[in-house]
Amino acid sequence: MQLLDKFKEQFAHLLSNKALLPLLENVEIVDVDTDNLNSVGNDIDPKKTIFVGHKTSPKEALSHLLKFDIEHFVQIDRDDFFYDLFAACVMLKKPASFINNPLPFFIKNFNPIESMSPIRSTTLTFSSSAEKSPILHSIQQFLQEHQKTSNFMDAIHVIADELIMNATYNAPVDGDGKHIYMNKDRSEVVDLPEDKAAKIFVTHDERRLLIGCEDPYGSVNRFKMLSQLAKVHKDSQSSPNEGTGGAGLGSKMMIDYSCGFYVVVKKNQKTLVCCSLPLGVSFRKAEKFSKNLHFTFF
Amino acid sequence: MDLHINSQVDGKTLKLTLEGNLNEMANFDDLPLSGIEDIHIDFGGLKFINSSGIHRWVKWTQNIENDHAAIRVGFFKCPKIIIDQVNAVKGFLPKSGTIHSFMLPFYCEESDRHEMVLMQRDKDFMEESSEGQEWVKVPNCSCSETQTPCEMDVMPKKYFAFLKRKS
Repeated sequence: MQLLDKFKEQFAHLLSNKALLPLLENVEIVDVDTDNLNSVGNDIDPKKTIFVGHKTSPKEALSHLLKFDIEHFVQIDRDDFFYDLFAACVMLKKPASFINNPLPFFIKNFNPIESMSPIRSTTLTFSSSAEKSPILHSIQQFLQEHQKTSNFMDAIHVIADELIMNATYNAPVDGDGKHIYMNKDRSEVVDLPEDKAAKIFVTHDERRLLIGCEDPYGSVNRFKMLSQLAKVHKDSQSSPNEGTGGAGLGSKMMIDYSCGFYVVVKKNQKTLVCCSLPLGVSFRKAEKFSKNLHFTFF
Repeated sequence: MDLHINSQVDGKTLKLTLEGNLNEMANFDDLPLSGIEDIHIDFGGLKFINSSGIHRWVKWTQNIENDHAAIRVGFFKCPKIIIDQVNAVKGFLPKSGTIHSFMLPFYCEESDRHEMVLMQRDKDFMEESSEGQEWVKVPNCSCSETQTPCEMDVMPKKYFAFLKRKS
């Protein structure tokens, strides 16, 4: 069913803005709980379709995304369902806008015209794996300055660590697209070329925190990433694979410790990986959030 | 801060105290295992963990299982990040491993603060065994700031899953 038929009322306040209408038009919504996937399967256009579900596990959501080549899975049971559905629409229709500035799509009232009004934000640039410790320390200090963020320090630290490791060891490729540091032992320091620095940012308001990392390679392979994620989510316990890094476990940890996982890749130009976390809630409530998953490649 | 491992051999027991971050710099290769019957690992000073650290840790526990299968491994003062990995990663707690104590988080909604309570085997919890089912006695906890009662801040089924492991 078309998004504007299914959720017209909820998006009514956005439709008065003519600039936003094209983002919401011609987007198909497939509900994995109520739609017959066998019958809709053949008609699905991955670039125009968003899957939604009710408390769908990451394992099931990843399986659907892989099977139908879909980029977005949004959970209906979440309070921020319409925020994330709107973000998914933007990633489908205007991925370049999203990858250049994702922050406006994480705001209250999902109005992309207003800014997120972040109460605090920090951005750190790095070009060597040796910079990881001082960057993590800076992020730790930033988080400690605010009660709401200090509660989630462990989770945010894990995510920041994995983001930096991905950007320094997994992202860099040579002119032929060959990953140059992928097989390096992670205890060996690697440097990025001067013009290929990566950056990590943390932004939050009172209710939500977004942490993300951007690298200038755009080298993530969608199928490989989703397959690896599906593999580590397959059993109740993951087995760390052979390899030099966490081999899929790192991305699983990012999903485990967040409530939204966003991967946006502009091929050979840029990769943005973000995680969102709720603030001002208990660990227990945060863990109950079903996960929104987004994998946009263009 | 990378991982600092303080090791001490006491008779046939190797006592390890871990401080800092369990990450890609962690090195367990030089720990003396010859003649050791028990390893006691104190995680009380562990701050953070990453996937490369988990990878190195599991490699070490596999080495114990393969080459020193008779060694018993005890985990002490496990913070939440360690219990999370015990529950999520195969082999993080070796087959010969026992959790002797762990931290249980409590949350005060009024102050938005967490309190940690140390849970001890035999006294506060017991894993499932051939002698009986697993059990946990959840203590009362008050917020150190507001003095109001806190609520246990984990999903019991998920957090206490490690108690089900053994038969």
